[in-house]
Order: sequence, then C-alpha cells, then structure tokens
Amino acid sequence: MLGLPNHLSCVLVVHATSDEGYALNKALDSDFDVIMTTSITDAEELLTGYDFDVILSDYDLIEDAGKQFLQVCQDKQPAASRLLLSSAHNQDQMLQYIHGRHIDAWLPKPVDPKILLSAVHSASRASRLIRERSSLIGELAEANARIYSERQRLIEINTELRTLLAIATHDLREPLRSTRFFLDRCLEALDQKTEMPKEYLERVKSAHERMDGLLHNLREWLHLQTGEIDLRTVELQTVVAEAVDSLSRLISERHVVLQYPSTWRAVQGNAPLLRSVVENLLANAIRFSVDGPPQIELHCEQTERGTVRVAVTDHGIGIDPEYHSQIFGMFKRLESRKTFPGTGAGLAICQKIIQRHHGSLGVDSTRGNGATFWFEIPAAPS
Amino acid sequence: MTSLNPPATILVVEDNPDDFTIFEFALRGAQIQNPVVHVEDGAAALDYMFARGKYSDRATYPIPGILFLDINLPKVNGIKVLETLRGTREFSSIPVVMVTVSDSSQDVLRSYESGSSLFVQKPVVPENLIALSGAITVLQAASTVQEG
Repeated sequence: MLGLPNHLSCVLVVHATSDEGYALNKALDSDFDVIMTTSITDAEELLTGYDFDVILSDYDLIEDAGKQFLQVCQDKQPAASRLLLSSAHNQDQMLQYIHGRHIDAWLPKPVDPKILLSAVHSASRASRLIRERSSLIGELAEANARIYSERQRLIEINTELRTLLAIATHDLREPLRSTRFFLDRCLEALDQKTEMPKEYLERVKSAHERMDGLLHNLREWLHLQTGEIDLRTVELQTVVAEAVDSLSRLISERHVVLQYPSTWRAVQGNAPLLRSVVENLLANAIRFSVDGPPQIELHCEQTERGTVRVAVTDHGIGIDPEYHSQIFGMFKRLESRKTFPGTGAGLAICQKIIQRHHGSLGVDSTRGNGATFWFEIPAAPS
Repeated sequence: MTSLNPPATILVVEDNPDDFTIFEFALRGAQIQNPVVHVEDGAAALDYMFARGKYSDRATYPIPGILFLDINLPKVNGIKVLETLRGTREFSSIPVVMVTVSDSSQDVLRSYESGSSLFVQKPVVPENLIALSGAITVLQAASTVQEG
C-alpha cells in the first residue's frame, strides 16, 4: 500500500455534493492528507491503494450500498476509523450502526468544522493506536515463535549432549583402564627385576592414541553441534578430488579402482566439512573391502526434490540390515578394533555434518554384498 | 573357582581386546585353568551358544559351563543375549556373569530383570573371580537341587 510522503494522517472523504466536499476539505486540509471522492466505486479502489487512518462518508451518498460499503471498508482497512455524516433524523439507524460496529462514530449534519476536525483527530489517534497494537501483537507472536523454536533446539542439543556425555565417560574410561593395567604390569616387572614386556608399553601407547582420538572426535562433534556453519555454493567435483587426494596413499597401497560419475553437481554446503564426509565414506569403503583391490563407485544425481544425492558403493563385507541403526551411533562399532581400527565416531560425525546441511545420510546394504553409503543435501541455488 | 568341576569351558564375550587381556590375566591370577573361548560380539555369542555357523561342531565348541558377558557389545548387546539365553530352556539356568563398568546401576538393574544376579566390574581382578566362584558353586548346587 502507498503511504503519503509527509507523515500526516490520511483521510478518505466520500461526500455527496461538491459544496459539502468543499466544506469538508476546508475543515480538514490543514491537519490531514485528504483524498476526496463522490463515487463509491472509486472509494473502494482507493481502499486498496492507500493506507487510511480515517474514512469519513456521507450517509446520503452511501445510503443504498450502506452496510455493504462499510463492510468493504472494514475488510480492506481494519485499522481505519469509520465516521459517518448523517442528518439528525437518522439517529436510530446511526445508533444501530454503532452497536453493530459498522462505524466508530456518527457526526450529525450540519457539522461544525471545529467539531469535525476534533472528531477526525480523535478517530485518527484511535486508528494509529490500533495499528500500533496490531503491529506489536505481530512482533510478539514472532518473538514467541522464535523463542519456542530456540527452546526446542536447546532441548534437542541438551538431550544429545547428555547422551554424548554418558557415552564419552564410558568410552574414555576404557583407554584409562588399559593404561593403568599395563603400567602396573610394567611396574611389577621393574620391582621383580624381570624383563619388561615391550608389548605392554606398546599397548599403553596405543591406549593413549585411542584416548587422543576419542577426545579429538568429541571436540569435533561438539563443534558441529554448537558452532556456526557457513553454507555456500560448493562444487562437489572439487570436494571429491580433494578427498581422493588426501586418501591417495591408502588408494595406491590398496590398488583401489575408483569409478566416477560423468557429471558432478553443485550443492549448498560447507566444502571442508563435505570433504571430510566424502573422505570418511571412501576410507570406510576401502577398509571394509577385504577381498582383492577395492572396487568403489561414486554416484551423483540431482533429485526432483531440489537436492543432490551422492553415493559411495563398495563390494566389501556389507552390513546386516539389523545393525544399520547402530553404525551411526557415537563410538559404536560392529567389527572388532583388531581387524578394523578406528574410534567408531566417523559415521556419527558424518551424520552430524549432513544434518547441519539440512540433509540426510543413510546406508543400503546386506551382509556379504557390499554397501552403498549415501547422503542427500540441498542443491546450490541456480 | 579355582576350577569348576568338571572343568567346563568359560565363554568370554568381550569386544575390547585390552579388556580381554586384563580378564585373562585375572583368570591366571585366580588360578582358574578352565578352557576359555573368546568371542567379540553378542551375535557371535548367540551363534556359539546355539551351535550356528562356524560354531556348529559341539565337540570343538562345547556348551560352556559359565559365560562372562560384557553389556555394551556390538550387534546384539549383553542384555539381549542374556534374555535370549534365559528364554531358552537349555540355557535358563546357566551361570551368566555380567561384566559392567562402575557407573552402571541401570545396567545392573536391567541384568537382574533379565535373569542374572552375578556381576563383575571392569577392570576384572583375580579377587573378583575368586569371590564369584563361591557364588557360582552355590548357584549350581541350588539349580541341581531344583532340577533334581
């Protein structure tokens, strides 16, 4: 809607005769922006074009359209005050209009210009207050919605943090237990002046490395949970090339055969985090391919949902569907640490990263038939 | 213990290699010489108990006289393994010792509900196993009386 350039209140005057119009304009012009019309049709059009504080109509003109016109005023400009000019003999009708809330006030004709001015000032103030109130109510509702959604987010974070804390205290104790046990054995050997088994010290070192890995993963997860993540247009081709590059040693040692899609897409994402996801999925695909050189296929497709789906398919040991839900848990592992080293945090971190991209991550696999790990995140805006 | 009579196989279900080493050390310290079989997850434990897959030969993989069952296991957790065993007539009274960590009162409660009253806390030390052997002997005697 148009607002008039100076900040005077705006009054729509729907009058019957040109004499009346002249008189009304003269009375109001100094204090208000006045728009005059003698046509109800024009008046209704003006209602969609301007924001009025006051609508002043002459009953003699609107008589036939009556309530209908007043209803249009109310529907289109709910904050505007509605004043009606009418002869004294219409008093009963006017009182009915006031009771029915079709109008806010009635001014009997002939109206004294000073009384008119003061009535329009008062109606204009009322209109401004209504507008202010409705805007405050809107702001309040928005603020409430923001607080509610933030509260939900904090509840979720809190629940996740509690779970993580329970997991962390359980899992961090394991390397401590090992360290203590093997150091005790070393001390015993020193006391008894027997040979200290080198393997025990190696296991202390390995427990330390595990502890370090667990703490590193925890910090990474906490950062993902609470930190700001910058999302922008990212070319997946670059992300994948970087991930492959950082795994180049493993890829060449294991003689990995990688198959790429013909085209890559751009996504709305954070390049270093997505690289970490791709790197993780590729490393898993290589580690869990146990027979001969790993054959790994990368797929990339744009979906009808406005997302991009990336999949990493291996022909490795696969995962029984019964255990699919377990593999995304923090520090959860299905296979022995002896055979497949790692902290068991990789997929939990990948899932958190994809969640922060407003996407989803999953697996399709059965035992013995390889696995396809996929993620789907919003495509870059075109 | 120091030995169950007759010397029955001990099945240890433990996914953490270091915890298994600690457990073996405790067995030696308690001078328990029963044969020990080690499996690394709950699914393998059930395969062993029900003679499935690579454990199908009972002569090589005999029914154990006692199980030490870690609670937090990959694939099928210890509580689920315990429930499955208790739901099978053949294993309804086999001694199952739940291996817990110190802050796991919830685990202890769930183990009781699922049918085990024997616990040992990590890290397992010889004294724990010696203390348990008395309880196991009493339980076995009681179960023999009930079954007789």
